[in-house]
Amino acid sequence: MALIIADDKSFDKILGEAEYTVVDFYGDNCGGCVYMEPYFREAANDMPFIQFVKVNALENPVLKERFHIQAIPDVRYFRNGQEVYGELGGMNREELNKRIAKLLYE
Amino acid sequence: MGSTSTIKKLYDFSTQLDVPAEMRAWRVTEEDISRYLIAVSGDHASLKKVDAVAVGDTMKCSCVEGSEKYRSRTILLYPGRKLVGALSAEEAVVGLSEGTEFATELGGTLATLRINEIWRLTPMPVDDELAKAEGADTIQQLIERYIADYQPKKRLECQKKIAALIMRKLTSESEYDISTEEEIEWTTRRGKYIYNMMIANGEDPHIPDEGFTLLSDEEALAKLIEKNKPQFRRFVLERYIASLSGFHYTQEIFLREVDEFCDQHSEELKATGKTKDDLITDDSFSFSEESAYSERMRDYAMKAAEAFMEP
Repeated sequence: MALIIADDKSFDKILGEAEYTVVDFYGDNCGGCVYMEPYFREAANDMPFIQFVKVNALENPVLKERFHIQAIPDVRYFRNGQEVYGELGGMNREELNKRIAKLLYE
Repeated sequence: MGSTSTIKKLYDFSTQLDVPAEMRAWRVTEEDISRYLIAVSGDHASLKKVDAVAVGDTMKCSCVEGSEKYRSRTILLYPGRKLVGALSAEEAVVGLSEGTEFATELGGTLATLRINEIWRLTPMPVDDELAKAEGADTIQQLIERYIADYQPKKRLECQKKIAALIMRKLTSESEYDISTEEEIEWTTRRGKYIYNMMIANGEDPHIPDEGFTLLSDEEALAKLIEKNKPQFRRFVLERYIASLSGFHYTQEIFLREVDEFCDQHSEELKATGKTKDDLITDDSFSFSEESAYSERMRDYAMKAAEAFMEP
């Protein structure tokens, strides 16, 4: 299922719409973000009922401040709207799957 | 002012640099197109309920017996994806039907799960209907749009990677004429700056690389100074490269940049109580100087990288 693009205005509504959400805070000219992008999209298309959300951290200062985004990509994992944990750095599909498993089963 | 370090012999990347073929390639390939179409097809996949589980399906389950943390959650299972903590469950569930209860290991504990719903994803076929869903008339148009959008980005990434290789080789393979006096002055100033920044940020510069005995102030500073020697060589190279085009960073340029910064960030400065004079320090001059030379080095390397990219 397609990626969801969120911004300062829409983020909380989107977060409230699913039990499980993975958020990729990314930016332009970011090598790690470019590396991870196709894997994040692949996971979104392969794992329904988890929301895969992208937020451009540089264009959304309220969210950047709220989540203390200091480097990108910064991926955060939410269960019922609450942040469970987060991790910096680009990931391939296998690495992403490990973090998703943590969200679902830990 | 003491003597100035310089480059004795610049690495000749034009004749000596070996760039692997895969690094030179930037054009969109059939593999890129295929991957793109699979992704787009997946974006528009349809989801339908089915009766029995197959690999690739998605299950919504509930925990009827087991750890308390699972009782309040929807347990999602994705057979075939091999998610850590659910490997047994993913295998156990294949072939089962909606409504079935089964015992399995989940997250390292035993649980009894009930299958509430089974869903199957079907990617949209790659045809003109998919193209229309993406705002194009035909698949061929969609592909052309993708190439037009992605190829410049791929080209830029290729150029950046080769430029980075050129910069690394220039730094490591060029021959330097180092003024000890200038090196000591530069690395000491930078080492002190980093030392003070670490303290200000709550980091302890006295922690040793090995062992447990804390370093003294002098030892901590000496360590930071030593660590900055490679940075100094990079600075010498960048300054040299900038000089090839006649550029030399001066106090005049620095003051002009400070004026521009103050104009653009006047509200910010007011809020922090800082003035223009607060920005004119030896450290800020040094960092502005480095930044100016770094920018010119990047431009030089990016231009040089063009010659190594596939035609």
